[in-house]
Amino acid sequence: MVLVIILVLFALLAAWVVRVAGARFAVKRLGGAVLILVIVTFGTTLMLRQVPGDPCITALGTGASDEAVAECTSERGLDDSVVEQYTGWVGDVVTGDLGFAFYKNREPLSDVLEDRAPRTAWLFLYSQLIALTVAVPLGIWAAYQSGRAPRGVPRWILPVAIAALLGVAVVGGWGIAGILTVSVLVPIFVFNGIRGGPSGDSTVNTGAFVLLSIPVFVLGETLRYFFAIKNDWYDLVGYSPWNEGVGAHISSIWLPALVLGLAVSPVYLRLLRADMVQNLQQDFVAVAKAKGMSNRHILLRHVLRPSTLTLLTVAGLNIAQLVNGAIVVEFIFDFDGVGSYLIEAVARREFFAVQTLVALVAVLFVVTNTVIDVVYTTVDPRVRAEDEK
Amino acid sequence: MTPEPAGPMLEVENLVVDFATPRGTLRAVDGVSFSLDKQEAIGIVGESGSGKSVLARALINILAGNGTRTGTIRIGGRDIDQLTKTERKHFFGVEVAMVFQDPMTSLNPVKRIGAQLTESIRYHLGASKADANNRAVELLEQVHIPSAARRLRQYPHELSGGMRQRVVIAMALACEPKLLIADEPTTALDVTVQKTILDLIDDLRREQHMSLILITHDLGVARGRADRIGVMYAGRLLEQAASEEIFTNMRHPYTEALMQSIPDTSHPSHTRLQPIPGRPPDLLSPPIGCAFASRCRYAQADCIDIKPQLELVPFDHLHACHHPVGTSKGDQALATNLAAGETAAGLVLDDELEGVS
Repeated sequence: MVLVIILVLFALLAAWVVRVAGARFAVKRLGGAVLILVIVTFGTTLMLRQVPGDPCITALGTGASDEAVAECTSERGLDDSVVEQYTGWVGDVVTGDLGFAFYKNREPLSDVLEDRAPRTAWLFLYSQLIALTVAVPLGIWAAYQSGRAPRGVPRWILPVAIAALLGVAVVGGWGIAGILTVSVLVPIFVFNGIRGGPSGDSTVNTGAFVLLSIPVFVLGETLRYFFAIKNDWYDLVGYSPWNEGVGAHISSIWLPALVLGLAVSPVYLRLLRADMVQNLQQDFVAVAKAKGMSNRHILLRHVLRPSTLTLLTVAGLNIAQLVNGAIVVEFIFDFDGVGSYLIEAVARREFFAVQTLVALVAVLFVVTNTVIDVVYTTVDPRVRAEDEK
Repeated sequence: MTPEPAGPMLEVENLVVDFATPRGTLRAVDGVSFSLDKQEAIGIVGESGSGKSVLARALINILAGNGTRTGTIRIGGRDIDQLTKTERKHFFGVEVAMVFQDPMTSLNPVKRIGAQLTESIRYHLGASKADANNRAVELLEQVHIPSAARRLRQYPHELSGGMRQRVVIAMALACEPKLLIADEPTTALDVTVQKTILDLIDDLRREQHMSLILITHDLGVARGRADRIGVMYAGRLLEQAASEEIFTNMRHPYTEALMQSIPDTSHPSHTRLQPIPGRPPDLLSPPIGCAFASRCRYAQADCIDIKPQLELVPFDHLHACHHPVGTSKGDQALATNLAAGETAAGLVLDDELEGVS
């Protein structure tokens, strides 16, 4: 059933690509995709065989008898040449047999994926949504402020506010973190936010850099400690699928998605801001201003669209995060997703499972980036998806 | 419709525009005053960096964030700094509109021509989508764009430079402005297209009874298309008079120098054009006296020390010069300098070039 849906989606996607970019482009891209898949999977196959350790000994344990190991080796074809192993695996996967996950428990890989893939997919989707909702408005705001004179807010307000809040903090006996964030950082952000102008822009940039320099695991562990352990705002009970109710689903996933989202948002913010600043210098912005259009109209209708090209590119490349970036977060939040599974599979020398997963990621990667290439043409009509000679 | 207030279309009084730059304050427009009657056209002429474009941008209130403006600008009798918030919303782009220099960059590359034409009609006049589209087709026909209806669906990159400039003009006309500012509208265009675009602007302003400010670096462009001409240099208007008066009776040496740099087909071939020596002054540290003194063939000691003020001479002619061309003072100054071989500012006068004037 799932397979049918996926195939239908693929067909629709292909039809769309053909309609927007032409059949030649679609065929070329499909050919390219197949080539990429072959290179990636064969490369993975080859490299995995260089990893020390015998998969069968790993699976059966060091106490296993030689006969059992030999039986396992021949059953899985591990005594064949690499090329034979590769072609055998390709034959299996193409006919829909994904094999089993771990030799020992022989759980079918398709079941594992059905169970785990949605977790990672939702996590990724929500994190991207969070990243964009944080980055896009802030990026637009920062770019707009960078070329603007600040509002006339008296400067003495800031030290007065900080001093007052510090007084409250000392009297209230706050912890050092509370003093720093609430009585120093928050007033600075609020003050520069109201004042706007280049200092508003640089405040956003500084915030982005700070966030960018915090490793994901530090951010994840800190937020987990604060939200799940210190307070009871997030339950560390693992993932609940949609059919257990929207509330349960969201409350089981919001914190890891937030962590992942915050980790990528500064990148998006910086890219969007840079492109917006550049496009705000364009003559057509002056023309739109001379036409008397409102700032909001100019920012959202004139400048935002041509400024999203870099953002789109990076968002497309970020699909790799689906496995890489999510691993850490999945680990911190005990979130049994595809990422943590892949790590385990590599550690257990489950060659065929690793190959299948890598192939899946490669397919996703190619598909997403093809979609993005086609989206370019709608964002900027001067770009043509067909490669011109 | 509110009755049109009496008086001139545009009055500019002592307009000063400063830009805060990392190297200090740059005064791009320095005390410019002029006025423009209804349906009148003025040509503002000057070389690059003379402040013409900044003047235009100040008039339509789109100075960059680091620019500040002082002085008074009244458009249609209304001080643009005294407008209420609601008046202001539908003032720029409606009462006054602007045509920019480079049609290649003036249009948003990712928006269809139709969307760019109709957005101001819909925003300012509150027209429905269909009405705005009809109006857009009308506008494109007014600027002589063939198959106008089809163009609305096209993107700017599908049109030639001349066509794009026509679209930019149509965009400026969208809300029937009473004052049109054209900032070097043909500089970025092919020579063959320049004349048709200039004639188009000229025809349109007569048909639609608009006032026009035509900004150009080419005196020849302003001639015949502007009723009056103002010559701008280093942020100041140095000379201002009726178009023919300027051409026949120029007073300022800078105007004379500009005239001499226009190719004239009545000259014998291979006549050398006379370039203006040197470069415009650095506006971050402007000279105390006349800004043109260091490049002027007439310069005397007082030019270096004292900034000349605008003087009104007969025939409604304004100039700011201590030793005006065509007067005894000017002739005397030039004779002294030629005899000395150099001006008071140290500019060496090359006799070889004197033959033309």
